[in-house]
Amino acid sequence: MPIRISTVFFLTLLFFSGAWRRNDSGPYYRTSTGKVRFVSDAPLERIEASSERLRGALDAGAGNFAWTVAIRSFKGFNSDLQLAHFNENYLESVQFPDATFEGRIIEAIDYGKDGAYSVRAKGKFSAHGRSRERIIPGRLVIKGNRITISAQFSVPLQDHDISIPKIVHQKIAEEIQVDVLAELLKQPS
Amino acid sequence: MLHIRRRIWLIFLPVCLFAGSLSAQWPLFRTHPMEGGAKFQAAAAAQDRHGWIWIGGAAGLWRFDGLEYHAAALPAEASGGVTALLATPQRLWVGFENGRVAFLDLSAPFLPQAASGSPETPLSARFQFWQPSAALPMAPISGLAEDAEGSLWIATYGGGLFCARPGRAAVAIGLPGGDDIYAIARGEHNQIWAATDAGVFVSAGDSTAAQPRVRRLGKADGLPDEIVTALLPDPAGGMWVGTYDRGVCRYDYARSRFEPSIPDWPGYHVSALAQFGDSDLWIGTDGKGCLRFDRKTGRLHEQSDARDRIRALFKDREGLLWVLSERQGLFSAQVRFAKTEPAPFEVQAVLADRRRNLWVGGATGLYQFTGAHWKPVLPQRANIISLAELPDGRILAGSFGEGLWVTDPAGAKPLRIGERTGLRNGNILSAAVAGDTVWLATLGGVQYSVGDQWRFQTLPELGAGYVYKIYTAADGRVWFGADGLGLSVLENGRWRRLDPGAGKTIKTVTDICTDARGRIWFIAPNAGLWRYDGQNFRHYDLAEQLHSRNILGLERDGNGHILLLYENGLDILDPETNHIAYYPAGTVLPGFQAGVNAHCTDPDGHAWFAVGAGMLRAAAFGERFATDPRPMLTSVSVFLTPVDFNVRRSFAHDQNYLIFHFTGIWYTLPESARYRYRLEGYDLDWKTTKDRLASYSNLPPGRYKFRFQSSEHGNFTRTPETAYDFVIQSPFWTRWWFLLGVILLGALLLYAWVHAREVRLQREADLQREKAESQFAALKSQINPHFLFNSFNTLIALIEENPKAAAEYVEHLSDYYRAMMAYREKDRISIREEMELVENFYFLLKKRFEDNFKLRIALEETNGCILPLTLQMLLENAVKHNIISKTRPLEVEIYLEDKKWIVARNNLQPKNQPEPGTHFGLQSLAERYRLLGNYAVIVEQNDLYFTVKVPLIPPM
Repeated sequence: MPIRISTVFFLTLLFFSGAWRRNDSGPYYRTSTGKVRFVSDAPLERIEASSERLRGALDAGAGNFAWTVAIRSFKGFNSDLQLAHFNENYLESVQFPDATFEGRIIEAIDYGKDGAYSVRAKGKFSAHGRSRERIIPGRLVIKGNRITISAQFSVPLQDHDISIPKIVHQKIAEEIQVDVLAELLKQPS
Repeated sequence: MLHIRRRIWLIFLPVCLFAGSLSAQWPLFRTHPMEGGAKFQAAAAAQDRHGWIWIGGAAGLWRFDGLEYHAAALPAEASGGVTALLATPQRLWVGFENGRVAFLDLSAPFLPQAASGSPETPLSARFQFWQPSAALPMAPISGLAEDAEGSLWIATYGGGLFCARPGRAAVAIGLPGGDDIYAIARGEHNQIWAATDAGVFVSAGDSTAAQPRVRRLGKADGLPDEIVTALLPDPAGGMWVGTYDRGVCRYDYARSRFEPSIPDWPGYHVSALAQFGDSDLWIGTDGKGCLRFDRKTGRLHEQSDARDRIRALFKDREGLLWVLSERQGLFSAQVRFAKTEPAPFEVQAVLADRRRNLWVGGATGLYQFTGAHWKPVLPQRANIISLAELPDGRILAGSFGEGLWVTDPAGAKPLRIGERTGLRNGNILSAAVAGDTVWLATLGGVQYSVGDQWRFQTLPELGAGYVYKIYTAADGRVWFGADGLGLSVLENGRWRRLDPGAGKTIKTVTDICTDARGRIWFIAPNAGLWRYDGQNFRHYDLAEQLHSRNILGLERDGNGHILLLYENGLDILDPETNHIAYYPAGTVLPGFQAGVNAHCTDPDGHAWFAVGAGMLRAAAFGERFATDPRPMLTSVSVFLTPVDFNVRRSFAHDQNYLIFHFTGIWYTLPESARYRYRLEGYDLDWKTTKDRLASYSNLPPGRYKFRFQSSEHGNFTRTPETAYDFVIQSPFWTRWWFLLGVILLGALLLYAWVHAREVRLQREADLQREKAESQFAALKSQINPHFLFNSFNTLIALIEENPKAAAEYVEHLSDYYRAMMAYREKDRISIREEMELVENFYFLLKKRFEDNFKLRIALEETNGCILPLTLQMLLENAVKHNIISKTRPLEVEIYLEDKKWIVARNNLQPKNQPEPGTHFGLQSLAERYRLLGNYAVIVEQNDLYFTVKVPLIPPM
């Protein structure tokens, strides 16, 4: 059920992100099996979790993109209790089921040409219902009709109104490190 | 309404821990929190032409006076957060998150503050909605700029760039890929720069084109990163450009290219820039606080560990740096003063050489300070207490007890000169170099050596005295400050001591420097500061606003100012104006406790002082900053009701209880501002106060000028002044026109009274005359021979016929005359009295005319009066003018009419030959009645009757 909600949300997001509205929209690429991993490296505890259900789309013509991942799809953690806290107390995944990032790639690159490119993606990063404009650097490798995108960035919890109780302050980092790796396939037009 | 309490938190932001490659030197940042920690998420700041600082943020717009925030009342159209501010000489422009623009007219001489001076009341300043902005997209305004022609350039975040020529609508300017504008600035040649994700767009600077043209500067022009997030015009020419990933670089107009960006950039995202002098560039980052880039040394200094997002930086007129940080609010710092990281030893000697290396002497040796590290120079421990630089760049380090060290610039082992190698004494208190001569003040006297031979000789005149300071002036003279011998100079090989004379002797001099005019400044322990201009000595004491007599050291900085170091503060003296400003440690300067007389000035003019285990840099930016608070009138109240004092300059006589609120805009240390004021026309002298108000009650009418000055520490000799002229009008009854009117009216009334009196007197005189005339006429008529003749004839006849009747007749005649005599003097008599007369008269007539004359009297009771003898005269007239015979008897009726008149009527049978008596009697009667009070006597005559109506007049 959560998957279906997130799918609807994702499609809506894509529609409104303007990705398909421009005249110069070119070939677009999609994935629904991207990998997201996050690490909270606090003095007293290191927490890792990951999801392999990152959904993303990229309009190569305009450089617009949209990504979304369901919070509930994250697995890992050091205990089940941690997972429960993560969903219920911190990210409140019932109320805010997804983390999204939508925007455009600033650097103009030739998607028709194989190669590796360093780009910066600028857009609205939204988690826990609070969005912030971010510029996130990433690496884009184009090979035929595949685009592999990888990015590392950090998310300050404060930016998204995620408050950590004092008692676990030393166990959860103030900034969460996030790694993303996704392989997008060219969609038949 | 936000409650803002008067509170300043001083915080000392500790050293950053994470950036090893960066050096640390930090000024004292003051935070300016809002009451209750209210988050205003400051996004923009500006200082208007009055000097007020405005802070805009997500929750609105405030004017900050250094102590309190005053919320501004903004127009309804421009709701939402404030995202941009621009202060021009005429206006304060405000850009809003909803894409609208408002402005405040600043043309009035003052900008009124909140009505009661209470921070809870919104500012009465009226912001107006700028109509053209209604056509802009609903994207946040990210910047505003004005060009030389007065066009307003509006940068939006997400909606692109717009330009509104004066009096014209705003036009959109297409910036491909640059809809998100981070910053906008006006550069040289009247060009407007816009920073975007796609590089920088620069307008052509032409004013004529309705649609301004822009060109793009990007990687091809040397821009290291096309996401440009900050812009700052360099006053020396050029434009600083802050980028997202690649730090800061400068655009060179002459070469039309960007210079390489500043080295060793740690990868932070630049968000704001500010520049002080030609050396210090402050860089705000998105998430990592502030950095300072020293252009002269090429070093980056981390400023704080407040790893916050910096939203804006700006420099105010006092030389303060203002930092708007996203989470921690507003900070300000007097960035001229910065303290280095503490050294692991107490700093005893400081020297900046010509190549900007900082040499520091301590009890453990000589160190080179790199901004972050203290690099030992000597191979062994040495207690270094004095430093000097040779012309070739070698450093002389004088130690306590271990002689002199000479460094080798090539890095070879330093040379040591001790007592066994030519030095007479190894305790070197002061070292100086003049040309090729090295001067050392040692505990064994002053020694000098010429050239590289290091063969020292003693200056005999100073003997083995204790010399604190040797100062080699630019003109070749060598000055000595000694214990016991005071100030002395060696000039052309001749030594002489200098004393103020006139009984004054300066025994001890501990420090010396010169000013730009070559005058000598020196200090004596606990005796203040002296100046010697070659002729005269001048003493600076507490009366000259010296902070204290206990000056530890003095140094001239690159601005030409004399800096005086105290145990925990600094005086900065301007030798041209003698203005002294005190900067206390802990509130303006970073905290310190200075103990040693060790200081220097580096080639860029910045002064360095040893303060405990570190150094204080007192930068001389070469910019003129305000040195005193700017006096501003903030409100004028009449009977506690504020008035619009920009317009209102005149008050009525009873509006004479005035309260003036004023302030001195002094952000450096707002609580230290002192004021003095004087109401010219009322106060004889100045009143000095710390309060920011003055009240006057019961001011008499007159012209006044409220003058006030503000000073940073109570010295009002050269402080700026503001004045407010006003008039209290005299009450209308003391004005000339009113007095003139009163006098004229009085004169008129007097004239009228005199005139009326004259008329009255005239009338009385006339009455008197008439009365006399009528009496005379009456008398004349009574003794008229006819009457007597007739009476006597009647009497003769009676005597013969009826002696008894004759006696009666004589009685009546007598009564008649008596009554006539009695009444004729009276002004008026009652009807009854008159009737008595009439009856006697009638009796006399009756005897004469018998039944040929008839009198009918029909009178009612009345208290009306008539003039005496009126009816008698009318009777007499009737007898006189009418035929009286048996066939034609005369009948006279006397009766009252309407209770207003007494009427005498007779049947008209005029004699054929009229009596010559004319109508004198009737005319006289009418005239007398008229004079008595405009009474009318009515005379009517028809074929049958002759009627006279005489008005009844009230009794006396």
